[in-house]
Amino acid sequence: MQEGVTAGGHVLLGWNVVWVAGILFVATYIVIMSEKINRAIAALLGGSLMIILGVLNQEAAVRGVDFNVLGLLTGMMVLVAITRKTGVFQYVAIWSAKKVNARPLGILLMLSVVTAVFSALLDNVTTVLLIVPVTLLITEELEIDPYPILAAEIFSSNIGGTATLIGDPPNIMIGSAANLSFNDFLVNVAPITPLIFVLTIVPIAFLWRKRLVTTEALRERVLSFREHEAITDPKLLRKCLFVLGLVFVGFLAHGALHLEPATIAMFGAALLLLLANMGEDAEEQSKAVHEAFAEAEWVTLFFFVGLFILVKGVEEAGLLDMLARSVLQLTRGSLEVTSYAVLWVSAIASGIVDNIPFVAAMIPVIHQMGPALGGPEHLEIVWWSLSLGACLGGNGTLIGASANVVVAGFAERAEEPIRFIPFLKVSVPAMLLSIVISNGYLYLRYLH
Amino acid sequence: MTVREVARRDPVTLSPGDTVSRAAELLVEEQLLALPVVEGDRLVGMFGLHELVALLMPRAVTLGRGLEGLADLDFVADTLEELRERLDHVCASPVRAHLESGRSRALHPDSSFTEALFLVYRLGRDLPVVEEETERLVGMVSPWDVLETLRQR
Repeated sequence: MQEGVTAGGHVLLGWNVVWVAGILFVATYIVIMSEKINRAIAALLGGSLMIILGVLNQEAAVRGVDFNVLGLLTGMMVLVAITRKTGVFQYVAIWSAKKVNARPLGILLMLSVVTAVFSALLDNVTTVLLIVPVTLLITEELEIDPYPILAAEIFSSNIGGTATLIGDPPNIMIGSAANLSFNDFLVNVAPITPLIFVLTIVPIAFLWRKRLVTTEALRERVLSFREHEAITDPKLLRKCLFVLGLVFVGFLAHGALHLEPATIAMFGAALLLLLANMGEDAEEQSKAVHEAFAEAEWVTLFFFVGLFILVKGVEEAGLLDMLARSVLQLTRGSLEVTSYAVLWVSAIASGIVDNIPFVAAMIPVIHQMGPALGGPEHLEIVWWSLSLGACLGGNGTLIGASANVVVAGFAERAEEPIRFIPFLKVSVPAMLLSIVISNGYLYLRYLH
Repeated sequence: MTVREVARRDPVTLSPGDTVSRAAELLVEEQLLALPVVEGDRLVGMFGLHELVALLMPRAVTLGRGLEGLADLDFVADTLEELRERLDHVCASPVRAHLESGRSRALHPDSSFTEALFLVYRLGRDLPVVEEETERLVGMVSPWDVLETLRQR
């Protein structure tokens, strides 16, 4: 009898646990993908039903929730919420636009780099939430079509996020489940990302160069922007940069210090909250802390909670074990074939559906494959395949990653919508190219 | 005390097809903060100083979750010329395209004076008075009328 399952392996009304878990899981995923119901609502309902219908007991459900992931996300959200008040993101965007003389092509390249770097250090959705409004401001002043730059920012956010443990939720989830550190990602996944970045962005800039033209007079407008004025609170900015620096060092050292990234992030968030509100009276402090926490993406966090419980449910019911065994049968237990399979399947799946639910389900499956593939050292390669596939796969379609959807939302509200099918003409080749490069990288580095 | 006693009858109105420049003219002429937009007798929306100024803002500011969280736009150095140009661009467009977003809060003839005060507190501009069932515009309440009423003894 499996732990967490009611006595006898049966659930409410005597239904078979495997069927209940399986159907509930698939149904919830379909609802999430269809976007008919808000994803957090769907995930929480699915997760609660897993417990209520008896697939999981309460303790097992709680064990399924990866608090390291939640803590890391929350900590980073709070840090960004405070830092964005300083206007530093506007500053960086405008400074870089001016650095290239406000030439649209140069701006595309610069903002792509800015987006990629920020995406590596912060989560992708936050990055685009910060970058897209000021991008739209710049393109409006220059009277150019924002589409090329927004598309480039979508690709940059996904590629940049692939490079680090903290850059993209799939990596956070993989790192936590597989005990891989910030440095592990830096050493194993990051190296290939600059190449993928260049080979994605440069062709795009070239492809759309005709749309990236403006007049000198319009460029003057942006050149006349006073980016120093964008910094609204230099004192706060200094505090933010100090804490962010500390947090970054913490991430680099967390493996050696035997600390989870979540601990580093939450400590950093608390420290910045302290520094930012030192000297304020109790009421002011309360208001400021309330505001900082209010900006955390609670929908995302609770979506994760529900998702974790759902996945734990099918895991406890034995379904993922079955899936793992089928995969091993298909790949005949070969590490190389399994890695490539995980890479390509993850990429395609992540392009079509959001990568987070996909990765959540894949993690236990891959864990199960560990022994058959030769132990944790060999399994590590499969984790890198999953990371590359899931993160880069997000570039496949407009809905492949949450960041893409956010950018599309902005574009729509700015009345310059990015349409799903036209976007595919660029996104699919770009994504496939990045996976081919990743495939080659996995082969050259680990598998030959 | 009800709104009926404070409201002004025969208010100045706009029709949906009136241009932004006509609206701007009227706002200045009548020294109002917002004008009701009516189709026949029915109130269909409000167009005021807020909506007018929104047309001059970069779109990135007026988008939801955009830059409206910005503390200031000090870094943007648009000249008066450029802003006038922007205004010229939108001058000829009909106000129906730029009505106040979200359902306009309106007063009814039987609404309490406190409700009027509350809406002034929330919206800080002239308020339409409509008949509850028909949505017919029957008057306007200006913040100054409210203040004047309070000061009378």
